[in-house]
Amino acid sequence: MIKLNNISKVYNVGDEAVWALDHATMHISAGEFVSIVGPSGSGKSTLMNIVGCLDAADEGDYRLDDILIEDYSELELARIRNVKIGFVFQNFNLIQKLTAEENIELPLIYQDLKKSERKERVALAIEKVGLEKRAKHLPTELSGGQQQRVAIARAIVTQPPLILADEPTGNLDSKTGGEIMDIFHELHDNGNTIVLITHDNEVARQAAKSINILDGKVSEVAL
Amino acid sequence: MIQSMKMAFKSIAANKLRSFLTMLGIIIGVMALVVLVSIANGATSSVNDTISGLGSNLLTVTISDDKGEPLRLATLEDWEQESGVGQIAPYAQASVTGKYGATSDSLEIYGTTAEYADIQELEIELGRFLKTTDVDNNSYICVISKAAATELVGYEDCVGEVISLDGLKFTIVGVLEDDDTSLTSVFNSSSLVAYIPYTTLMRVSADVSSSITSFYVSAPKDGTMANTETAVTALLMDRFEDDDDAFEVSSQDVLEDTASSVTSVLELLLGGIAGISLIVGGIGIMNIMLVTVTERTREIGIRKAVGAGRRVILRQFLVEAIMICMMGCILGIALSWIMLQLITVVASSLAISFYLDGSVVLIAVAFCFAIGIIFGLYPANKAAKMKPIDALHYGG
Repeated sequence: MIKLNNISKVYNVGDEAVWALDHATMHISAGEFVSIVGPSGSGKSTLMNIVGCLDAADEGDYRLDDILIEDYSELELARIRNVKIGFVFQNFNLIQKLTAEENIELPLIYQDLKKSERKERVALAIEKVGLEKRAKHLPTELSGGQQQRVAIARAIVTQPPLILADEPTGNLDSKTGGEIMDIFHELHDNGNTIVLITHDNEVARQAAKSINILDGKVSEVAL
Repeated sequence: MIQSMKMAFKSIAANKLRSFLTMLGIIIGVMALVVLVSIANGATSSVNDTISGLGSNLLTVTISDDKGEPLRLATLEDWEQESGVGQIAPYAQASVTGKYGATSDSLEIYGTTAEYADIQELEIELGRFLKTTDVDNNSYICVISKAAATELVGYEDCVGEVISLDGLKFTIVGVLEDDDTSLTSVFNSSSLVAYIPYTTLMRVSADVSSSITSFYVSAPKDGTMANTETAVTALLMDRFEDDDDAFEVSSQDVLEDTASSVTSVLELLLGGIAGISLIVGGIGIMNIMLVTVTERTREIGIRKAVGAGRRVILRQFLVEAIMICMMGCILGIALSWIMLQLITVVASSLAISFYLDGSVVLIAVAFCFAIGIIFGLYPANKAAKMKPIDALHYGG
């Protein structure tokens, strides 16, 4: 499903070129639960941004479902993100002035779906993350764990095959983190491809496959 | 589109004070535009009314060189039979001292014929106007204005009284109604007026002879002023050896044209000033929209991450800018309407009605819409062009 081939990304910091990704190659098949582990600054966020079509690589090619991403325009990439990828961020990234429900509905709005169908799908996503009682609340009225559930609901509401999670438990206590991880396992059991980015080996071990990243270089480790 | 409008409305509602202050620029601009132009419009129509009340259906002819062939009363009577010519009334003017009993006052007297009342649309309050027989008989009779009746004679119902004009006795046969719109009242409002037969004035005043130098011409009932002007000019040319310097034919249209060109310049000027204030309001909107875009960078990043394309983001912010503009516009128009009502009441003594002109409202709406687009486009484009990754990581 995900094929990265010799991907490089270079940032220029002053006169110095920093290789956030250094000829990284990796493959993730559909239905896998993969964790990408590395210390901060190792390039894992850059990797996630490229996999999530939020950023473009300087070198190499990236195929998502056998389509070569670099060939696509910004509008088409927005469409791919909308349909194929669900994002879960460490800091939740919810729009503060929208209610939980409205935040979850957001990706559907960009699909031009009918209101009734949107409502249906939002209700389904809310049910999956167990937030029925908090649907009308603003993010500021929700706990961290609840906010992350909203973010997960938003990620799965379009029923994308791929879920990209960047440190989803990073801002949560271990109990809540565990609950969030349970949701990911459930999604995995239902056939979703999960890519989990973390610096926490404990979390990483829950995945079936782990990919290490250090100084922009990628290496696969078996668990 | 409806989604964009909903989102825009939400965002405007979320920052009520800021949105209102931003709108204020547009509100004031629209009010300036609508109120000023409406006032100019009201003034224009009032001036036009006054001018057309002076009689736009008459020509004034003055003769400067009669080439030894002076016009007589009989000539004018002949001309009245020509096609295209309505009624003709000669006139001459003199200043005299009027006396009644112990009171005396200076009076403007006009020597003319019976047709004058029709041409100038004079209204008789009491008695009658001059008759053709009065002119034929050089009668010593007069028709006086109401002001002359009250100030000289002392009361209005003075038909039959005898007054003396420069020592000659005249019997009052009629009293005119006050006419605010007549030429004499506009240009000579304070003076007292009496009308006497033209032939009589020839005897009273040394300056007035049987050769007529000024007269009014009206158009026939079914004719136009332009035709009359052509006909009269032809007659005069014929009479005065084709010398168009010998006479002058003028109509009220000239006055009307001048007035309307003055007022349209006024309108443009006021509209221009108001337009500038609208543009200033637009800059305010751009400023706030730029702040909004910066503030909502993270939100833009999130929206882009979950699938919003450039165009959707552009539309969202553009719609928001236009919406602020249009809300300001509607409020401004509503306030203008209230203001015009107030001005009409306060300035009721001017007898000018200031109304909300549909075309001004349309211009204001179109202008606001254009301002929304022009000043909303740059911030909206700035938002749309953000890279999702940069926007997501903005501010931590």
